[in-house]
Amino acid sequence: MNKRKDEDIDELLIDYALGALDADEQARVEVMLAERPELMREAKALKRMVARMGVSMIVPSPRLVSRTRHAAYEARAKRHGRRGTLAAALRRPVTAGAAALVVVALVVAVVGPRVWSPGRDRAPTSVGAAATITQELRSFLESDLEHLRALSYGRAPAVEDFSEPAGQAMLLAEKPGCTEAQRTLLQDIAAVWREGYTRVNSVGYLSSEIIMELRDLVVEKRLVERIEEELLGL
Amino acid sequence: MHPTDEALILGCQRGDEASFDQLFERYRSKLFTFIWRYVRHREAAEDIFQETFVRVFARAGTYRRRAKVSTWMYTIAANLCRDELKRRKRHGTISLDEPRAGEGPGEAWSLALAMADETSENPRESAEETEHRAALWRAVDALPDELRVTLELQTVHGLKYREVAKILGIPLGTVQSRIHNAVKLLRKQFRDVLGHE
Repeated sequence: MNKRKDEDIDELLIDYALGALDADEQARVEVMLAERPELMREAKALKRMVARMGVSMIVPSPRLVSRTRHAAYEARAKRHGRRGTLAAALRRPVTAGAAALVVVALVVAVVGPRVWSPGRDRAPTSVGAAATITQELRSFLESDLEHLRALSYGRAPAVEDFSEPAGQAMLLAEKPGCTEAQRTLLQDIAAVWREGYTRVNSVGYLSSEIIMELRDLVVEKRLVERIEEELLGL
Repeated sequence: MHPTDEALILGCQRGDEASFDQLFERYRSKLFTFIWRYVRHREAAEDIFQETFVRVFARAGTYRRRAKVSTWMYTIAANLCRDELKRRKRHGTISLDEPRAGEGPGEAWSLALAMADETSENPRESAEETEHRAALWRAVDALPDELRVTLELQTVHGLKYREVAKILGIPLGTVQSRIHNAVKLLRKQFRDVLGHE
């Protein structure tokens, strides 16, 4: 009889540690725990164990994410017997590429002759370019600093698609008005994200090993400090 | 303001891709973790993950408000995982894949789970805690599959017992007894560590 009662209390403690009791049951257990220190110790130990199981999720690779999205759009379109929307079509790489080419061709045909006609400046002035790059650079570095700082502590980055910051950094590095020091910094930032992207793609998820390798790169290249210094000067 | 899951599934029913994208973003990591842990095989997990979301979008019209959207999605994934395990059993390939470097379900995978939530900035504390977590996850990995999957739905995914019961298609009492048994087994292994903290 007592054994049965002990088992019931034990299971109640497990449910309590798991947060699976309703408010009334929880209040009753807390009264019992206040009266029995040995049960209180047990409940605390269980809670610690359960807390260790509360973890972040494993991130699917960018390749899988992209593949799944397209498969879902296609399946939906097939099942409902209609073509995908324009938005869906534009998300597909081939269509998007073709659309981009058409847009570029139109812009060149309409605007080009006026902008690049003889006697006019062939490129934006250096002052204008510097102002633009400063603004864009500040915006990029501020947002990237947060992720790189988290990474330097060995935390999983919030960004799931590593290719985006890598691409942004490389685009900025190639812009006119970018100083040599800024270009080097951007290239180093891009290298870290690109490395992450390649590694996540090859393994299929963001493992602790990858996080630690990226953390070492960030620390080795002093990226956090360099970005902070750069932001002060902007 | 974030739209509710219900609003997004209604959007999916209309064929709205933006609604599907939001739902996908919201659940992709949770479902991928659940599926991978369930089947413990990378390629199979990827295929099931894709098929789950294909069904969510293509069959959104079959969703009824009897359960939460998340429960419905987990149920689709769980059914596919069960089918996969049955298929592997029929073909005599039920044994788990040998873990490859950096890949689950071996130690590296457990460690990734254990470390992914690391927030401590104190390296010493972090290393000790990481070690405890990794040991716990190795023990979780060694639990019988049905106990492990049931326990993880409650602890890792934060689902209620009745939601776990719906997802796995088992009675509520079975969920409770599986979880109790799993915790008792883990506690038995970790009593020394837990008692001295």
